[in-house]
Amino acid sequence: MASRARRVAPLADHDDHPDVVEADTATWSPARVAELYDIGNTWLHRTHPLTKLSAVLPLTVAGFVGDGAGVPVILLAVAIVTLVVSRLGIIALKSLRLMAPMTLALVIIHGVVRPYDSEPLAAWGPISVNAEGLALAGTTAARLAVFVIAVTAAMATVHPKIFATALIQRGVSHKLAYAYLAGAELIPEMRLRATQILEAQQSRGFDTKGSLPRRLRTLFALLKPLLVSSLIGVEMRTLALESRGFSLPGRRTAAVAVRERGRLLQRSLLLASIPLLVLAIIW
Amino acid sequence: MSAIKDGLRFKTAFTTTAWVLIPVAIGINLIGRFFTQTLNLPLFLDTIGTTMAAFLAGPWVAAVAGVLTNLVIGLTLEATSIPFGIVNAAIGIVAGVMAAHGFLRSTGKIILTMLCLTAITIITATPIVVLVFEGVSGSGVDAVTGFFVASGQGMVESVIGQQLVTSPLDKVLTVLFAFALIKGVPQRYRPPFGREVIPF
Repeated sequence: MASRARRVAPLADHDDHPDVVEADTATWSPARVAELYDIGNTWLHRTHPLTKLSAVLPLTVAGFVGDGAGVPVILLAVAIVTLVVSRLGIIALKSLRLMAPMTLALVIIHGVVRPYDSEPLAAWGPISVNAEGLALAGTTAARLAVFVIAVTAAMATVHPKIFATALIQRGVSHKLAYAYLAGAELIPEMRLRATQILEAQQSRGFDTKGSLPRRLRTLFALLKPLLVSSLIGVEMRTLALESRGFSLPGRRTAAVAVRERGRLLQRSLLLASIPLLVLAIIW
Repeated sequence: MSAIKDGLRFKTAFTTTAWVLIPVAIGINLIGRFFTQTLNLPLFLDTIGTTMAAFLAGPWVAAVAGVLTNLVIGLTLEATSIPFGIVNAAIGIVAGVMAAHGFLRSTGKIILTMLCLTAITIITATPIVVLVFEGVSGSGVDAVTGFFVASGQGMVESVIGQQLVTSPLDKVLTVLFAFALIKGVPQRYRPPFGREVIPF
């Protein structure tokens, strides 16, 4: 576990906090964030988290330039090739898997189900395939895929803790960063607890496949222990945070410092969204 | 009544308990979604945590919990859920304001809260689904949208129709679950705002 955690270290500032980084990462419980974060040491992992996030906006806006699917498809192809060449093909795969049900729904609703005045490409009884609808579905899917792949590539290559630290270093409230980080770390934990409760209730004979009212009753029985225990835990966590000076005013020092770099690039990326937005509106 | 006033004011709403409640609300939102998928229920139930935060700490805390839920899920699991943060925040604000004004004190008022949450969901979600996603969401409810589209309705009408079919039950259950679960927690464990809006 410690060796996996140590591989996160290149993003942090070795020059200023060499020991602290190593000591802290060993307690980061990579298993808890394993499904949220792909551990590695590629150029994308080493890029400042906010630079990656800043790139999402111009990339997404660029996907809306032009009438058809041309621009978003080119962007998507470049993104996939870049990720595969960088040995991050898994991120491209993850993004495309996320887009699959939405693409299918777009194709069915716009390409098959939606009635058009134009001549269909093919027709079988009441079902017809329309070129206009397929083009709209393709363009929308490609635009959304550009956004999804940009976000996934940016966030799957940064540990949530480093992301939260980078936000605090740029002046975001440490309380907001805490809420984000605690929420992100809770995802795998809550899933695990939910699965355990589901299995425990099933072993007591709870029906998870019956009629709708029965499944709703099961749902309440599943939710109650988890939610009540979570709420009761709030008081304890509040006391723990208060004893650590959570609500005291002033700037916080971080156990992990993210090297401060790429400010100009981040601003340039955000500013690049403006001409792209104008282009997307007029073209 | 001062706890209610504090909960309604942005400056005083964010106590340490409120900040602790936010990640819990995020987790509960996610769990609702996980269980509905596991039990194959035609529902979302992904705002139970936001609604609970609204009933326990007020509208602003719930709005932050709502936005953060979609940001956390969007940035770590499903990027497509980011735009729906607006819907989640709107639900939190409406639920919190209604709770503060005594809409959890009688059955009739609770039903009105459910109706208002359904309305705000339709008002805020429809433009996002139509403008950003061209009418689809990638979930089972797309079949309902498809039905309306096939019957010759426009995309906006189809999405509103789909929302009218799926949202009411979802929001009724969300409010019921949130209310019943808060009632299951002893008074002393509830934040002051929650103690005053649900005083039993």
